[in-house]
Amino acid sequence: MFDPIFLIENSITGLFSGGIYALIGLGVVFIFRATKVFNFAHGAVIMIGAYFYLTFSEILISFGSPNWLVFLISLPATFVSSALLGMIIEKFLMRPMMGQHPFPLIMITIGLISVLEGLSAMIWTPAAQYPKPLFPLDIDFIGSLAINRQMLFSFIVAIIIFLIISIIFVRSKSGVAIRATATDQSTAALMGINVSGVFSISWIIACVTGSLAGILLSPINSLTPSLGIVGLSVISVVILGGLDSIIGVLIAAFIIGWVESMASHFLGGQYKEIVPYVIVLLIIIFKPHGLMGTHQIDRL
Amino acid sequence: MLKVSNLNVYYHRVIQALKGVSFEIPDGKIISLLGSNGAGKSTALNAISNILSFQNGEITEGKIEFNGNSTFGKSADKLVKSGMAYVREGRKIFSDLTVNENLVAASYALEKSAKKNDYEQVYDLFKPLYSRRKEVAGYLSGGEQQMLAFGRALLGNPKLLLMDEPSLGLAPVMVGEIFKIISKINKNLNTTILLVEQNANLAFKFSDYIYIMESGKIVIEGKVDKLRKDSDVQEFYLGVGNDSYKSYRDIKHYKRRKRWLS
Repeated sequence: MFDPIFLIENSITGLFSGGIYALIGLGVVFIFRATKVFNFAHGAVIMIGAYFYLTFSEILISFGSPNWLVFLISLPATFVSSALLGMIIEKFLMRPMMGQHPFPLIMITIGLISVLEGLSAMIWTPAAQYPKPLFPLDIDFIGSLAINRQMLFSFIVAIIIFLIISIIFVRSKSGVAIRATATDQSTAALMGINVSGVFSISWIIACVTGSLAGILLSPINSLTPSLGIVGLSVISVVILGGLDSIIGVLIAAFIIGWVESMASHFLGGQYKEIVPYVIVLLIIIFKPHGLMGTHQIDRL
Repeated sequence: MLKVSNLNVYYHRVIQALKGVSFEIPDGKIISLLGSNGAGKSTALNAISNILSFQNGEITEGKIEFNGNSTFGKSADKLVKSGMAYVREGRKIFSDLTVNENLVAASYALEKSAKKNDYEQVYDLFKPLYSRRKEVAGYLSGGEQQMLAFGRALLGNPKLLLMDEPSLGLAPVMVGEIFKIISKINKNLNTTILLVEQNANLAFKFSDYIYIMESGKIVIEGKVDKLRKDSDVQEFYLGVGNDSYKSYRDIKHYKRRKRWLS
C-alpha cells in the first residue's frame, strides 16, 4: 500500500488534473467577476464543448482527412461554436435578467444543467464515446516513474492557456473594465464601459476555455452527457480559491487535484469527490473569503 | 443642450417616481434641481443618463433630447461617449480598484484610447489624487473620493455634466472647494452643468436657473434672483422666515398649504 513510487505517481497525476481544474475554474471565475453569477452550468458547458469537438472531428475523419487537418479545423470550429453557445446563453438567458439580484440568475444556471445534459443525450446519445485525443496515449518512464504523456501535455496546454488568458484580461485595460463592471454595473456604464459587452466577453471566454478543457478531459474520462460532473470538483476549487481570484483558482486547483488523488490513493476512489469538500469546509471556516478572495473594503 | 418633456418614470412598474417632469438646460449654464428627499431629482438624472434599467425603473411617457437627438434606445455607455457625464450620489467610486485604475475605467468614455495627457489634466485639477494614485480608492477620504468621482467624469471631456449632491457628506471646507471647482469647470471648459442639491443656499449661490421639485413634479422654476424673492421659496428652502410671530400650529409644514400645491 505505502509505496513511495506509487505515491509520487499519484501526486503527479493529481497535479496534472489540477491544471485542467484551473482552466475550468478560470471560466467560472470570469463569469463571477463580471456578473456576480456563479455558473453552476459550467460543467455542462464543458461537456457540450467536448461533443462539438467530437462531432467536428468525426465528420472530418469520415472524409478521410489526415490527422493534422482534423485538429486544424475541428479545434477552431469547436471554439467558435462554444463561443456562440456562450453568446446565446448570455443574450437570451442572462441579459433579460440584468438589474435583478444575482440569485435568480444562479438558479437559471442550475436549470441550464438539465437542459444541456438532456439536449446532449438527445443529440449524441448517452453512450460513452471517445473523441480523437489531441495527444498520444503513451506512457513514458523516468526511472521507474510512469508518466502519462497525454496528461502531461494536457496539463501544459491548460496551464499555458490559463496564463495567457489571465495575463491578457487582468493586466490590460479590459481587465479594469471587467472589474469595474463587477463592482457596480450602472456606474461602469456611466464610465462609458459597454456592460453587456463585458458580460458577453466573459461568457465567451468561459465557454471557449471550457470547451478546451472538455477536449482535454474527454479522452481521459470518456465522453458522456455526465462529463459535467467535473464541474462539481471545480465548485470546490473556485470556492477555495476565493470566487473572484484568478491566482487563487490556480493554487486551489493544484491543492484540490492533489488532495483528490491522495484521497483515492489512501481511502479509495469513492472518497475522491468528498474529501475536497471537507478541505474546503475547513478552510472557509477560518478564511471565509477563500484563499485569495477579495475582502470587502470598508472605510471607517 | 438637454430638453426633458413630460417625463413619467415608474420603478418596479408600480411606484411612480416622476409625474410629468419637463425642463430645459441651455448651453453653458448651471441649472439646479432642488427638492427634499424622494422628490425624484436623482430619478430624473438616472432617466436622462439611461441607467434606469439597472434599477428596475422604466420611462413610460415623455421625451428626452440631448443635443437634439432622443436618448431613448441609446445605452448609457453610448450617451457617455457622446458627451454626457454623470457624477452619482454617494460618489460610487470603484472602491477595490486603485485611483489610477478608476481613471482607466473612466477612459472608456473617450473616443480614442486615453493618452498620458488626459490623466495629467485630471491630476492637475485634483492635486491630492496624484500622490495617492496607486492606492486602493476605497481608502481615500470622502473629499478625495468626491474628487476622484469628478475626475472620472471630466476625463471624458463632457459637454454636459450631471451632478447628484456633490456636497453630500463633506466637511464645509471641502464643499466650498468642490463648488469652486464646479464653477471653474463651467467657466473654463464651458461645460453645461445640471446640479441636484439639497443644500438650497449652495444651489442659489452657484446656479443660473433653478427648478424646485416636490413628489415627482416640478412645482416652481425661475431665475435665481426671481426665486430668491419668492416668499414660499424663502421660507421652505432658504430658511428665511417672516418677522412676525406665528403659532406653532402654523409652522408644522405638513399642515400648511403651499401655494404651488393648490
